[in-house]
Amino acid sequence: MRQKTKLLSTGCLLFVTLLTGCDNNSTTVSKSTIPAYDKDVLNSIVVSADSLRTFPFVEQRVSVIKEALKNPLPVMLCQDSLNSNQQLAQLIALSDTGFTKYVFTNTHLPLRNEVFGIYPARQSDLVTLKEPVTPANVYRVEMYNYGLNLSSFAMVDVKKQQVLFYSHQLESQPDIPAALKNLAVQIAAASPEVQQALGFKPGEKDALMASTKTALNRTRCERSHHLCVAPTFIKNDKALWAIVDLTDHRLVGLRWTNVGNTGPAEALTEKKLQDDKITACYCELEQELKKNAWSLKYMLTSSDGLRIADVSFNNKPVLRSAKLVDWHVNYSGTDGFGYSDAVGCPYFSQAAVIAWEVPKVAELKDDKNNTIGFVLEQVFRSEGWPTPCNYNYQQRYEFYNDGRFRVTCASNGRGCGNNGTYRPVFRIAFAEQHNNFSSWDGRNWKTWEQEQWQEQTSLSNYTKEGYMYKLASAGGGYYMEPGNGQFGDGGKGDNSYVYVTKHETGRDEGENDLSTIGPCCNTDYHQGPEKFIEPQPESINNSSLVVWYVAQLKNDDRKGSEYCWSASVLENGVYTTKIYPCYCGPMFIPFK
Amino acid sequence: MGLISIVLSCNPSTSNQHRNHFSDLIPSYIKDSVYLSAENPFSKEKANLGRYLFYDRRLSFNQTKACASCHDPQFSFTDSYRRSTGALGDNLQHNAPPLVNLVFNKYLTLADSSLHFPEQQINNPMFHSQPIEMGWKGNEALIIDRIKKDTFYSRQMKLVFPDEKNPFTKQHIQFAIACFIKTIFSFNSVYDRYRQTGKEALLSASEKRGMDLFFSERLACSHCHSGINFSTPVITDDQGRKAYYQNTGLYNVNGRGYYPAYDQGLVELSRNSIDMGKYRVPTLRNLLFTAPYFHDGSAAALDEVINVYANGGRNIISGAYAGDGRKNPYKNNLINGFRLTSPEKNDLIHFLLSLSDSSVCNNPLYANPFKQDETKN
Repeated sequence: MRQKTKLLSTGCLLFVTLLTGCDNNSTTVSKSTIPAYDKDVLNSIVVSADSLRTFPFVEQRVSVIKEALKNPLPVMLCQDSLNSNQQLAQLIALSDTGFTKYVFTNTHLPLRNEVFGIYPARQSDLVTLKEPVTPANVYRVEMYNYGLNLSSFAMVDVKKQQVLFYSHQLESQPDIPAALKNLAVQIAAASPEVQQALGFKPGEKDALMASTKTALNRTRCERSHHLCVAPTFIKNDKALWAIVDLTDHRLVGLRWTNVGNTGPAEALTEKKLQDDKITACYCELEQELKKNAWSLKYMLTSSDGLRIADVSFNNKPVLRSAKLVDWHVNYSGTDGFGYSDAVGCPYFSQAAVIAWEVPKVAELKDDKNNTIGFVLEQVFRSEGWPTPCNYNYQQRYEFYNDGRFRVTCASNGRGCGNNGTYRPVFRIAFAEQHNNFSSWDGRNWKTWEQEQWQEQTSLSNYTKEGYMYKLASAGGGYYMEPGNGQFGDGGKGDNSYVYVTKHETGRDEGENDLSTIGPCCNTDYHQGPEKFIEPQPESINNSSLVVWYVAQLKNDDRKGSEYCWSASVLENGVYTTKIYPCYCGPMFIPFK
Repeated sequence: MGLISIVLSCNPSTSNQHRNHFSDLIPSYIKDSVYLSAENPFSKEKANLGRYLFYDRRLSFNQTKACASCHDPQFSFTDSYRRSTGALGDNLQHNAPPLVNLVFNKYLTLADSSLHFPEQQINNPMFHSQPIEMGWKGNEALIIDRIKKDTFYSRQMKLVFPDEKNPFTKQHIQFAIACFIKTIFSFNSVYDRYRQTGKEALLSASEKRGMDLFFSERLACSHCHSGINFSTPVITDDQGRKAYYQNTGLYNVNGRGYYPAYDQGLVELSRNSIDMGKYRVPTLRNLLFTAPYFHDGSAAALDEVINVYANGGRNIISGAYAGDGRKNPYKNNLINGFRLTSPEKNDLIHFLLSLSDSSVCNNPLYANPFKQDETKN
């Protein structure tokens, strides 16, 4: 996509991704592409009147906002406790005019901006840098612009006192800081509507999932146009969602979901591995793995799960990288509420679902117990799983001795309702520079000329082997076989959206760690990757390609049909947790 | 609620008078009878008021659910879930049926043959308490008071019901919503256009082959799925009446023909065992938007549905509802399986999807009139 801009006043999505060097001589955005603003945007600049009537803690927050808007640079600084390097990184970022480019409207009205976090950089943040840096000196600064619903990211070298690069993503929201999470919980717990619905005043500690972004149709939270979260309270076998708009500081709606009655009352008590061990070994350092004919690097990202990179088979490059960008979890197609989950390292983000164990490498066996490859696997868990409104995700890469590989993940429940749809978003970047992508039309392979997407439906065409797509270059390529329940792992079919985008080195379209790419609850192809396609798809002939794969999995708690679920079952006289994973993800089969 | 259930379609002239209310909404080539309650004369003003009420969450006791929560136009007035969710998060008994072309339906609900008009049916979601859907039971005064206090409704209810001493009643709310629902028409599918114009070129080769299969005696789909909505059977029961309710062999719990205890179909009303597992033949319109399928949403995709019929029922091997539905003693004897090649199955699916009309999903006449959350702004 050449021109990634669209005027906000049209009400359409805008996704600006800029990648510039610190010398400011790389890509820049012309004046004409700066988003205009409309009345809605202006309404967001100031706090809406009805939030002023609410609570003392909201009033306090509003006064902080008003003060910040008077500053020469209308930015609220990060409220978390910061060490000196983080403070320095924040100041360096805010002194960079590229990073702060959108803090004012084009008529110089101040927009509300807030630095949400400053995190030590990881390898996964630095993959697009051409010059080597010392990662220990680099910090990632994340800022949110409430007025434009825009996230800005800067990678800052505190030693060199320099912004290495920055990017802006419209309709995107970084992980929220602890202070905002606490504010949301305070608003929810103090709201009479919540107390009336529950029949009691909830404690702030009772709130679950309060840092995970959500949406709600027909409110300003719809499709995550505002920054919204949903502190959730469990009452018997129900969950009450208190949807809080953190842009306007108010409760915008309540919804109940049924969390089923087959779950354990308490969380598992098994000891969790120390976060610092996971952090030190797998979040800060990239691990190398050479096994059979495969070679790859892997690392836990802050919010894109377990990322593999530089994957090769028999010394031939296969993938540049693959990762799990988001989990979109939707509990109502009509009301559009749910969670935009991220999975990642325990320390680097507020992501609710964190790496629970160290990554595992295990042998892959066939039905006759022959070793046919190996698997690289990672579990992400909420602290309270498997109790309601806690999540358990599994990510798994399968590498076969014959050159096939599969990118998979599963939800192990239990989640926050028995009427949910999970949509994991994979990003798979191929190493080959001159690929062509085709889909099977029932008789022939039809080449995709431009970036586009396609949904797997009842009417999709497959070759007799079950292949639906093909990536081909002069030296061969891969067939792609989407999940159809054929892999023997309990998967029932992926109903996937497949998007193909062109990789270009001049800009970042997800090569670095991505914040939440799409809202929780869109039921159509608007899952995030389309932002890299629309409005002007690029030609993808003979190109370096990125395949995005979004499976759609409906959970089920019905006896005998459980899926994306976990339940408590009595075995040998004691209750144990039984998992019903919903595995999804495509297999890639090499050809010459 | 004391409705006089007059099926106006029995009298062609009256039927035509009532058709006039919808004359600009129903294509002229459609001559089918309409079923309307004599108690609730149609007016556009009433339908417009009904549209607001249909989308208003204040109509549920805790303000979390509107009619549209389970009947959303983007899914052809269904909700895309196996079973809908009530105001307290409970799973309801059935998969939400689409609300299109309802005036042509003699029977409205999946398992209650006593209801013929939306005016009657609306009582169910409002007052059901096991589980709670909208939670009117015990909260009627509270909800009506909410409506009464709204300045828009206060004005509109008086305008629409000018002769009533008290326009703010449950019945008037139901009448207005029913009027709106009756205006939801869907006749713009590829198949409709083909029927209207006779132009075969509108259908693809695959859709035509699928149509031939659908109407063939080999598959016999049209024996049950006939009429304007593909939901009127041509087959009759022992007494010669059209068999609107059918058992299709989805379950056979314990081998005795039972359906899961929480939902057993028409038998729950009739108390006659031959009605075990019988549900109203559903419309085949807009299948593209109405997955999952069957009365309990137990089939995620159309090929799964076709497999059930091809196998002569559904054999559930394990779990609480294990049993061979193919051997269900109450099953319709037309459901005895057929062979279908993979391309034929694709053709059939193509034809079924050609009955889908996307215009119903984004028709501004049916859209939510509230721009933002009506309960907060």
